[in-house]
Amino acid sequence: MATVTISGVSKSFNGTAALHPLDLTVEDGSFCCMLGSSGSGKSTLLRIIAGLSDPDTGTVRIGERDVTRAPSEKRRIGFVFQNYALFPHLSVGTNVAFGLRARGIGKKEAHTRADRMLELVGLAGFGKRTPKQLSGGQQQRVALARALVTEPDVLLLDEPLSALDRKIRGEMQAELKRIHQETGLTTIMVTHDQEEAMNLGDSVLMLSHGRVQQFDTPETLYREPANGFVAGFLGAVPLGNGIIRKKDGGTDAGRATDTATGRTEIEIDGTRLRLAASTLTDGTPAEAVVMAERVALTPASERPRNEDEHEGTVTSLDFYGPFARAEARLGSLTVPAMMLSQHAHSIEPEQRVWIRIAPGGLHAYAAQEATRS
Amino acid sequence: MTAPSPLRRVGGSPRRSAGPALARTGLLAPGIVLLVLFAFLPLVALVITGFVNDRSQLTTENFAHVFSSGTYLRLLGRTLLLSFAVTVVAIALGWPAAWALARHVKPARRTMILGLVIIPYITSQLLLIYGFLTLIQAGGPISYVLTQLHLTGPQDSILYTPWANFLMLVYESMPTAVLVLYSAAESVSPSVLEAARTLGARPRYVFTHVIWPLSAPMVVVNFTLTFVQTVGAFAEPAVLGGPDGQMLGNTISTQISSGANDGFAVALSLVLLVTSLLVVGVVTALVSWTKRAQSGGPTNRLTAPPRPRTRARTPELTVARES
Ligand SMILES: Nc1ncnc2c1ncn2[C@@H]1O[C@H](COP(=O)(O)OP(=O)(O)O)[C@@H](O)[C@H]1O
Ligand SMILES: [Mg+2]
Repeated sequence: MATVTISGVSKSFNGTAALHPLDLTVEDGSFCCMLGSSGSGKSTLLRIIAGLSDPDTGTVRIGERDVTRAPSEKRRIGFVFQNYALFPHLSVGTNVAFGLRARGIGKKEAHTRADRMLELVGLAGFGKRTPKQLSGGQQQRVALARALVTEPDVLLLDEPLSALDRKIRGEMQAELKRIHQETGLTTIMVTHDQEEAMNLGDSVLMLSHGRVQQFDTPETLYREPANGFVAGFLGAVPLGNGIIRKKDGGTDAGRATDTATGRTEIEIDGTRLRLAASTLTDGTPAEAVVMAERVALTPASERPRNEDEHEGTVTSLDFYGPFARAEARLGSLTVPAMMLSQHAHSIEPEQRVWIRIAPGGLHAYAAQEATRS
Repeated sequence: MTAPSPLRRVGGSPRRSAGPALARTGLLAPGIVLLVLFAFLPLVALVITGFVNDRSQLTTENFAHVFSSGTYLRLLGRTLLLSFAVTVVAIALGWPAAWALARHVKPARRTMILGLVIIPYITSQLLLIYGFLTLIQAGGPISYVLTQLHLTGPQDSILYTPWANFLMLVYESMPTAVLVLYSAAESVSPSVLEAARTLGARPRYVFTHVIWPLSAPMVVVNFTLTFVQTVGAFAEPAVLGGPDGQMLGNTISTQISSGANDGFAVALSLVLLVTSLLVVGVVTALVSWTKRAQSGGPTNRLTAPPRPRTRARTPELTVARES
């Protein structure tokens, strides 16, 4: 059990920075997900923590130990690879026992402990098979058991589920969650899947181009994306560029909330939309992004328009099984709306609708910040 | 390599039609015909020749002659020992080269280097041998440099000694070694090695328990190819080896070209063939033994045998039949 502390770690390959100097603390026993698109530097950071790659600058601490110069085999970590990386010449049981045998633990004890660990990951009795005889999901469970059996201080996982199909991935997520709760092991997992990160992580580290974009709890990340990149990664759609308008003179300092005195809007092409919260000051040029699942469309024929709604016209409607996605024109803007299919029956193209963007569904970022990647 | 998994068999189609079997025979046919024509039949002819004496009588006297003479047995021993040494040295030199090529060279350059490695293959063997001769003879480039450094006299050379023969044979074995061991190095996935390290294995342990067992099959292939080829060498010792550097191949070649006693030459070849195969067999067994020893042997006697998966299907089948 240990806190992982990273200070000033950076890394470049052939003069190109893969990681800019970065600080991160993962609390003892917590589950941290590193989220980012391909090439954002997630694996580089994880491999530096594991000792599989050396940082150009900075230090890595596991608990009280400064392990920056320690080789992998001395770090007391467990590492799970995307491609499982099981030893093809060893049986499943011997694979799991490998780490114990390498540390000089006797064969009998090593295999007893390996069997117990296989039981924990739901593979009791599979010890004699070869890795090739197992499915992808089972192989990844073996890899997990192999990493856990040495009782490491930290468990590191590099996209462990992304080679698995959707259904197995869901099962494995539940499994990882259960094992984390049972072992209380400090866990750092790399993923490019935001749902996976939000589901598993106590905290989520959002990376892009080797820079930390945000490090927060999943709820905060979703409610208050720090910038346009994070919002975009979480599925927010760009709405357009406009100007921030603070009502009541824009006197409120700090994070403005929609109290009776202060309320922030963004004006895009003459359309004024209410923002959840923004530190931007009156008159700042900004880009607005909207989360489609927080937009509601109501047919205008059903009832009169509420005060917080805008009038628009449906331009398209697409079904995706349980979900449906519509687009509505609001002035010159195109507003996306995501809803349950069962709620989409009353919607049809060309229909006049009331558009309601829920508080927190619309974010604005200073224009250059929104385009920063 | 590995036995087909029972799981896969369950998943596969239960009935095999005659079609694929026929196709398989068809595909194998040319290979079988070639083997019979050019390997099996000549071997039978050789064996028969070996058991016939110069008066056309069926006899074992050719073999008796081989084993009665200390000269031939010594020559056989020297040939086997020399070939063994050549093979081991070629593998020892080829392994780091192949490993570096597979791990530390950019893919684009790799192709070029592999191309360069193959050049000796597409060059005439005699040309290579005489090229080597000019290189090492007294007054040649190497002799010149060593003389200038006052390491040797101007007339010193390893030419016409067993060493010249040995070096030439190693040189000729290098392309095979690099190519075969390159594919061995490629078959060891980098993440498997990293996994071993994260599990606490020090470099030595990683070598003995991961790299060696995974490479061993290719090392055996390399050993077999190089050893069998080297054991039959006769041009190299004839041109470079001098009086002390001769191999059994020279004697066989002399016996055959003199035309005096084909049966005896063939008996020598057969003895060489059988002893070489014995050496290959022993080395193969040794390598698989180390491999198994390092892998921890048959594992996990502590667990109950896994329940057969097919058992689970039985209830469904019963229901299906009843309905
Ligand atoms: N061994 C390496 N050599 C050169 N460039 C590398 C190496 N590893 C990673 N990179 C580069 O560093 C950047 C970050 O890579 P990585 O950490 O693997 O991203 P991620 O895991 O987020 O997809 C990428 O641009 C990648 O090309
Ligand atoms: Mg990666």
